[in-house]
Amino acid sequence: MSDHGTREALPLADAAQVRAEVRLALKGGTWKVVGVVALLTLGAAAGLVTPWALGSLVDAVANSEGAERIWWIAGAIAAGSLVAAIADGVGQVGATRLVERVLASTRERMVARGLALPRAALERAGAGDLVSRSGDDVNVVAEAAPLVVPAVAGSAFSIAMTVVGMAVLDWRFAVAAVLLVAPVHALTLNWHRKTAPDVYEAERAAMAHRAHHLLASLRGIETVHAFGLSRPHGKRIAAVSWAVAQWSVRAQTVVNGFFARLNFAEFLGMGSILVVGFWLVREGQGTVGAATTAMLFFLRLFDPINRLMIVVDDLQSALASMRRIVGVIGADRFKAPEHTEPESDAAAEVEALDFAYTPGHPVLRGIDFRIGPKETVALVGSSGAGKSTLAALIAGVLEPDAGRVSVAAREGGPAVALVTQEVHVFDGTLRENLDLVRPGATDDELEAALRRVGAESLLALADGLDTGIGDRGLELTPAQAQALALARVVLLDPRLAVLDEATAEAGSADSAALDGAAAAALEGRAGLLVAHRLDQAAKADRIVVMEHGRIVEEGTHEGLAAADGPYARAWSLWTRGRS
Amino acid sequence: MRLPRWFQAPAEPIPVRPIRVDADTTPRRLAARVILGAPGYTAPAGALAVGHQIGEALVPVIMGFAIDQAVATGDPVRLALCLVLLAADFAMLSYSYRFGSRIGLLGMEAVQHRLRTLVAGRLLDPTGVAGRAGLPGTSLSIAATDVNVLSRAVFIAVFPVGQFAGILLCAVVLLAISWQIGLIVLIGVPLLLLLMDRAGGPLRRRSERQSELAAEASGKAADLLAGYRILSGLGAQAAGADRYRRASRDALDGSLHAAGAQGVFVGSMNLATGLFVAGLAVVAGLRALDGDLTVGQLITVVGITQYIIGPIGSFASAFGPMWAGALAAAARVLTVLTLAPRVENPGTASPEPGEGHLRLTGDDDLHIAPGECVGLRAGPAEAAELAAVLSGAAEPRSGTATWQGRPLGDFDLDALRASILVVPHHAALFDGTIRENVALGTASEERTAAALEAADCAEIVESAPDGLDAQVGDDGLRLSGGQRQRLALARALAQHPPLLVLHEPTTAVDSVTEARIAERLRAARGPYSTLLITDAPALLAVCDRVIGPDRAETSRSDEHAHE
Repeated sequence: MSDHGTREALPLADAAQVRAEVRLALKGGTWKVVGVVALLTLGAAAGLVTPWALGSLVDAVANSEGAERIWWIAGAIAAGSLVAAIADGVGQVGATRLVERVLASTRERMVARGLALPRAALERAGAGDLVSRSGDDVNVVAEAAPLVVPAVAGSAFSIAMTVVGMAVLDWRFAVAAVLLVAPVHALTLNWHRKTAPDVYEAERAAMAHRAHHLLASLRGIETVHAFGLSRPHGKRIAAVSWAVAQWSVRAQTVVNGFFARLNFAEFLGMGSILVVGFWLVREGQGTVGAATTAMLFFLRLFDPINRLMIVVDDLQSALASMRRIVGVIGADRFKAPEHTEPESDAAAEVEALDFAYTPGHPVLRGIDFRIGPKETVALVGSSGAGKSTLAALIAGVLEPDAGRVSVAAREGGPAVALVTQEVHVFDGTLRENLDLVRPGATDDELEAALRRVGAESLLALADGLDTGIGDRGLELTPAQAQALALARVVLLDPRLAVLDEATAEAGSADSAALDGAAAAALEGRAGLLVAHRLDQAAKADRIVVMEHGRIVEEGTHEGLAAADGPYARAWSLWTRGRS
Repeated sequence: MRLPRWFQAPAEPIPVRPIRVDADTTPRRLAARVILGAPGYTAPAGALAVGHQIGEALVPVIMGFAIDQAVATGDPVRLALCLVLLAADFAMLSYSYRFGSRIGLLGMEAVQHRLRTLVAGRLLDPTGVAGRAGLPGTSLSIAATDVNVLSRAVFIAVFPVGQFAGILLCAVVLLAISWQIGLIVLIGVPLLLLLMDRAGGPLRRRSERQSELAAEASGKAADLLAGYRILSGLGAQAAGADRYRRASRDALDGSLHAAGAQGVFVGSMNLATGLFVAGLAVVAGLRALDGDLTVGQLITVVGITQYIIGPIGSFASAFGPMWAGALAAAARVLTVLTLAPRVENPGTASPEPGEGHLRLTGDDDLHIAPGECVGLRAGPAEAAELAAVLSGAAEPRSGTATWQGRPLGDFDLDALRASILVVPHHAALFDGTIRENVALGTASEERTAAALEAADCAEIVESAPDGLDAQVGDDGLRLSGGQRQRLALARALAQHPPLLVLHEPTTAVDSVTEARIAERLRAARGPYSTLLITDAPALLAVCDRVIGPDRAETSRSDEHAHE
């Protein structure tokens, strides 16, 4: 798996952060928690009736107490089961509901925070990391949580009650059982705490790799088919999938070691009760019935002890996932570049700006740049010159390393919008795709925005704004998708619109229409246009030429085309063959 | 000193027999095939699970025996013997579980791997998917979560078998003690199981709905994360999070409903089990009072009765949901496995290595001779259709399409695509290094270097932190759009196919770079043919001839004649 060399996973939360998150999610539900615990406790207590009644049965028979007594005992078992079934059933539903609510609020906070992460951090970690956290890890917690809560509440009480019951029978039973068994359990838990988390974490990380490779191949399926990569990619997925299997077996080995130790503790407990019972009966201090009840009590302890110990295991595994989920919530939030108003009336001002994605490999050096209040500026230059990076910095989605970016604020609205050539049509209706930027916008406003960018073909869709588009709906043409993106800008109505190759993907037939749409989107506001098609740049108020992370030329189209600089050379190449 | 860890997963996947899936496969049948998927593992694991449960069942028997024979008599030798017997029993049940569960897991993992490979294979298959596949996030959830849940059905052949054996042993012991009590167990337990199956019905339906909604929510998350750049560019992250919240709330409602059904199920099963034990206590107690049972036998009956709640309960709470979950997952896995292919019955022939003639007749008349570079100006729809035909994904609407004199439909898809490489306009890069992305593990060092040079990628390699070994990030997102497009072009050139079809390969690069690429393209293709679907004059200028949207043809010599 050499392809993860510089992958930087998103952070993991520590236990305190996870606790704080759970507390936050449970806020206001204290009484519900108390109610659930009470119900589960009642369920556990009612569950003790059965062994106690069976012990009494032995004594009743030994003392020949008569049939009526036996019917009473059976009645007690039935009544105990009824109470246990109701209390336990309702308690479990309550516990699951509480846990599901906590989980839902946590995963929602995670996705919300994930979407607000700094772009650099998200892209360093890879989308698979976040997707796997919102899928695999959420599932792990969802499966473990309903087991953990009732087990902890119910089993702990069962164990405590049973030990008390044994002590009531004869304190020596309780002492023998506790003295021998408790240390083994303590050692087992300690061993588990040291061994398990690493293995579980490795298993989760392997799952994240698997998600990552699957998702990458599915998203690039056209490329996979074109280059005949089905087999190598299938192999790669198979390799990471088997790596998960290897870690799962390793995790099972830990679980096995854990249960082997618990079995040993059970043997010690059973043996000691036998020896104590033997001694008590021989010394005339106890009855055979009491020994039987002690044995039944202890036999009954197997299950709650195992359940409690198992949930330690589930708890570790769920905690590993929770740490990954809460880790996203706790991750450094994107610090929007400190907002400063331009000193002049400019829409945006950039001073002495430096930027590098990787330290030591500067992408932008000493950029000084300004966009007038309603000015359209075109940014041109060779591919890799840093145009898109500069556009992203002005749009405020990247943070500068040095220097200052200031964008004029707009009262009651966003200052700047960025549209790039990456079009993603969200899975949902046309309306949902548009009102993302202005929740609650009326249909008239949405239609007006579409009309403004000339997207008549979108308005003419069969179900209008309710037409399903995106991955599972109608597939839009690249030109339609770009028009949709530009309509979002119109709806958002920012003071400055940054269009980074927003119309590059259109074929020649659509390019005129899309250029018109871009012009409409820029109307009445300042605009920054990154363009390779120089005829589009030529229409801008001013052209800024970049090379190797610096601004090398600036001026109007006429001025630059007449000069003997890089723009003039590019322009002559561009016009060759076009008339 | 550490003991060796036995039964670990080997470095290579464990082979298991194929899991057959066809159009008639129902979820029930698929789940059944999965359960029987690794008999070489489930059989020994099931046997060990039986050993484990028998060991567990023997604990109260041995204890009853010990109380009767040692505690009641006060004989220390018998006590010692009973302790040894107890130790042996615990050793058996402990080791049976230890190795049984692990061997069972190995079998489950082997089946799961097989199933996942099958699902991934179907999703990536060269024949493609007719219509449109679902959200990548939904497919991911099926390939990851549902395959996992379905595979766990393998455990049905392991643990319930052991539990059943434990119940059976108890019945035999009880029959030996008293036939009436034995009969109650033998009739009562199947009745309980029947009840369990009935009670599990609503749970099954709700858990199906729940997993659908959960998959929907994680699909939503993946979709929003895929559009992350758009949301951040428009400051719409909060609105996006809101969308997810709605999907998550729906999933929550589904979970809450399923939790209610689960509670009713668990509660009613516990009650039924409790009533069963009460009935058994009455019969055993009355018979003991009549002197038909000794106190020792009563202790054994009581001990076994208490033990038997465990396996019956596990059977009830584990088997039912396990099977219900497996069925729901199987239905969803089947939606992927039975996807109709876009290409039905692809051929099996391989093109000859090296160049060939491409001939399209009919409406889209097109003829490309070896070594020719042809420009085509076409609208998006026409370009997409042509790309589909040339990559073997669609039949031509009229006329025929042949390569090296044979219809395209005769060829195996991967073999055809190695001979005619149709590069999609939105070419994806994959997480990995620049070198891995361009060479694809097949192109030689020289070929890769030449392709990078031709696609004008020198600047990318020089400015990257680790040169050729620099990571490009997910989908190449660490690079700019122009850089990605040039690397995608270099990748296509490095494959050096006899016919290369490029669709607008330079839309994201500036005119100077485009001119440089156009200049180098011909030399890079050497003796092989190229079809350029583009409107870029710089690219069209290097073509031998250009076919216009009206199918009018201009050749280079014509143009020179006009000058």
